[in-house]
Amino acid sequence: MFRFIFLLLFTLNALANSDILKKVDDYRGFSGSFEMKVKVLDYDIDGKELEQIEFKVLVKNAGVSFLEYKFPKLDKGKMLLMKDENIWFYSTDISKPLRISPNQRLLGNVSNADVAHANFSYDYYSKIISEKADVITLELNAKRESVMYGKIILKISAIDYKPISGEFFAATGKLLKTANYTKFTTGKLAKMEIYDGILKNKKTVIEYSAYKERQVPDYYFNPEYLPRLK
Amino acid sequence: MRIAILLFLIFTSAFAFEFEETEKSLFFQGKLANVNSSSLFNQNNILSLNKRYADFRGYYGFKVTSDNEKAMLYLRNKAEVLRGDAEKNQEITIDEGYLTLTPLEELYIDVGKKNFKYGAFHGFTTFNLFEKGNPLINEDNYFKESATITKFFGENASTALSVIKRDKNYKADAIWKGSFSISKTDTNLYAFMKNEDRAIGFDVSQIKGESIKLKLGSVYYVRKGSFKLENYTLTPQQEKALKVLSSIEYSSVSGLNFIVEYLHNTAGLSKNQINQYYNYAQVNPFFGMQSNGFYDFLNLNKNYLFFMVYKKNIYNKLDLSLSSYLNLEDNGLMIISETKYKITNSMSGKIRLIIPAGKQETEFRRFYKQSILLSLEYVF
Repeated sequence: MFRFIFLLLFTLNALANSDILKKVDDYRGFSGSFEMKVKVLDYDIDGKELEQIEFKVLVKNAGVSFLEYKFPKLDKGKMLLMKDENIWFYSTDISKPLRISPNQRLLGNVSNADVAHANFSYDYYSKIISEKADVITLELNAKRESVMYGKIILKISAIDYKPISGEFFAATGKLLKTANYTKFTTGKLAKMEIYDGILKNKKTVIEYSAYKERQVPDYYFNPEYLPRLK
Repeated sequence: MRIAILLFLIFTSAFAFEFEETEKSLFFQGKLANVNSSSLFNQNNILSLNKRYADFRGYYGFKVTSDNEKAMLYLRNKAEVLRGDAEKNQEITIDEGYLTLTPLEELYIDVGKKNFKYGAFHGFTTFNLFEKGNPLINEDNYFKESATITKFFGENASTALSVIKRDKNYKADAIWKGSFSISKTDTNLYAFMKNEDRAIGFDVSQIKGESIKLKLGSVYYVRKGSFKLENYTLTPQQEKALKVLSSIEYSSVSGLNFIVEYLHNTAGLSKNQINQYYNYAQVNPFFGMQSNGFYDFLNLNKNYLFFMVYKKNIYNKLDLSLSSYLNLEDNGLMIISETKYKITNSMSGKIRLIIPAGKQETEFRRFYKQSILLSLEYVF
């Protein structure tokens, strides 16, 4: 009996945590399919801008998204289709969609997960590890091996569940990066600053804008459909 | 093409349009090739007529889509000025232009001049009879006047049938392709019919872990076009053959990529056969020169290897790649190095070196010459 009550309380607690995480996710998109613009600004340790990339991102659901380069102009026409850990690349140069491995990074220093996988509750289990008057600290643990980060320590506002900051760890426990969620507009995340786990001054800024709910048919996310999106 | 535009106007006359520019760019390419070759085969080598040329191109592309998204017209115009030792040319053409109609959900019909590229391999192009030549050297795309009907089945499967105009008499070739993705595996099935040639084949790509991609493919074909070695006749002979390809790609966490591909062609000449052929051609230069006309890149011999190592985005500026083909029958080697530098966000420069190596009478030394290509691209 005691065991049953413990399990029930544990399950209810997990559900409550999961609800909190869904509210955090609401700041990073919509529950259904949507599109947004993403700008990535990469800086060196002296604060000098190294690179700027702009994408149009179409998110079908937490696991499926499509990303199209808009800037630099030389990269226009390059596309990435991501379905969980499966990734396809298309560019007008090669003229045929190619499946690529997760290590074949095509976004410079930015991970695919940072740009297009805007959903914590799909990828992570959560538990509250501290609760203060205005800040809740969550520990997120990856649901699958293929998830980019093994663990995330996420601080959120206790009032409206807005994400405040995060520490992102590899499965080995190594700190990969830290992030500050610095700007929100119309109820959505507008800017986050990411700092390298080792080179603390190395910064990448990601700006999100033009969030728009958009219904798209399934076949838009068929790899063979990519050439039609040029 | 005119038919496509007319169809577009008829189909969309009742709807509003959305206009979008897709491309504005300038491209320059200069090529220098070494012509100091003593091979008797090179005297009539169609692949090395130019020892230098300069090619200026301008592209302008746009698409017009009906508001209901049931019709789309895509046009990519090319203005080109080509100056070489063997050719001078200037023209404005529609490089790619087609009409796409979507009469039913998941069903697409494309009519016009469209690019055709198939296959999952880097160094070899076994699955596309329309795509002869070296994919690493030949930069041109393969725009064909064609009609294609494509049916998608949700997120993971599709099938397409293309009929391709072969000549002015509207004789046609055909390609069928079926594709599906299951978990970490992509599979493509193909069937080709070109003139009297026939081929069926498949390729499968699979991701293993975070960094490895494996590929396997095969094609069975019946075609005319090779000479008969036994009696050294130059009459095109029909051949039935099987090609098998396998490949492994490794991508490191640091972004370094390695590719090894292997091609086996049952119709290719073995080491002994190619030696016999060279010996015969040495004493019969006319036969040697004439047989060049039957040459088809990577179809001469039985076994080939392809290696490639590349890294992109070095310091956000530089792409480097080094590739080589190894003919396992005559031990000839073709080395291709490419350096691409992003000068600004709109402009890039590229240098490509092509170096055939090995003994004089090997496939790559016979048909290719050392060359250097310089190119600049500016995107507006």
